[in-house]
Amino acid sequence: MTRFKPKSGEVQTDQGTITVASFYTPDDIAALSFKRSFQLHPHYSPIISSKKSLIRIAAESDANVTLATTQAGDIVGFGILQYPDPDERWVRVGDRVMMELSVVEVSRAWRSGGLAKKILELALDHPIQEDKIQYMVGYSWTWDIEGSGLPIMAYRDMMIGLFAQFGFSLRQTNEPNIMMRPENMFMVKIGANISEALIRRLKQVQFNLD
Amino acid sequence: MSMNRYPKEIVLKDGSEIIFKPLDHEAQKALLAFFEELPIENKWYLKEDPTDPATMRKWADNQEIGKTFCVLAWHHDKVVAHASLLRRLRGGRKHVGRLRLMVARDYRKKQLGTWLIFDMIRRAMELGLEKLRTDFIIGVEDMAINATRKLDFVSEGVLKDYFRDDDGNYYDYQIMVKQLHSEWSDF
Repeated sequence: MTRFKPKSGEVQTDQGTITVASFYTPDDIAALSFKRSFQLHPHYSPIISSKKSLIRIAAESDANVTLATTQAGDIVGFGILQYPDPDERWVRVGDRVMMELSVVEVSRAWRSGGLAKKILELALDHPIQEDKIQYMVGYSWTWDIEGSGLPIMAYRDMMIGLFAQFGFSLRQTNEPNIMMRPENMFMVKIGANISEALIRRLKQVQFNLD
Repeated sequence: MSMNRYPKEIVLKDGSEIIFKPLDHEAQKALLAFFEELPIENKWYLKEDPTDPATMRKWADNQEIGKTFCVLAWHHDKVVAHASLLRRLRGGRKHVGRLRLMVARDYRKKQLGTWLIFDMIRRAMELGLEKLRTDFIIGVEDMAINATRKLDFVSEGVLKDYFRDDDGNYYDYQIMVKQLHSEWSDF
């Protein structure tokens, strides 16, 4: 498995300095502690709620697990860039062409401090990014609407704005889970080395016409 | 702001690539041509004459002041469908949007209407509307009634013999409403 060189940065928050770093290894993650705040809330269930999941994903080929940690070694945010599951529609674009920013999450107590942006920046900053189509799928049922205090469409706007800063743009698709709710969304960033043929292929897959 | 999310590209079941763009003054001529080409059975019941350039100008003006939001579906350089969301900017029905949709005959049964309704639902939610209403003539627009039903519009009533064509035939009028949610709720 290729080991990619991690990058890191610091974010100053009201609660102290947070270090954000990419390409965490399973061993590195095992040494950290996972905040309870990522666990279940009455109206919101985080996609990742255990350290075990992060460790498993960090061992996947090319995956980038980016973590935000306190000086004491508590994980307070994370972002994951990985290949989609084999049964996902996006695999059909080509072998290891699509990489999903599958999660970006900041613990409730640490929000509004710019952590999500830094996590995204480092999670998407992958040495092979120009050979990939990076994408994100926004399902509103995974959003912490209650914690944000925003109406759904305002939350959606916030997400679109955040990803647009990194070159992502909205695309239409008839993927059934995305079509389930009007606020769900699909955003894509096409790497510089992606061929026209693959771009056409993506368009076909978006509408299940491949 | 969602206006800058256009153009949007979709691909129909037959592979046709369609672009959605909001109505502007430059598109009036193409929209006029779209309505002129529609057969009379698809426009006799409309309140305004969509083949009158003055109507087009009014629609484009309403779009500019935010009273209406119209999206045109383009295939190459031709308008093939038109969807509009009408709003009341004051009064007791400010929370309700009215949806109107027209698809060219050759582009029906390809989900183009569904895509447009979906886009309008999203737009209505962005505008903070709480309900979306759309009305159809039973026996004339049955395909649209079925499409909206699949998108959770429910029948809120039928006005008997509400429309009459030039031959004196009467038609019932179906009122469909979709509740829009600004947040998730538990049940």
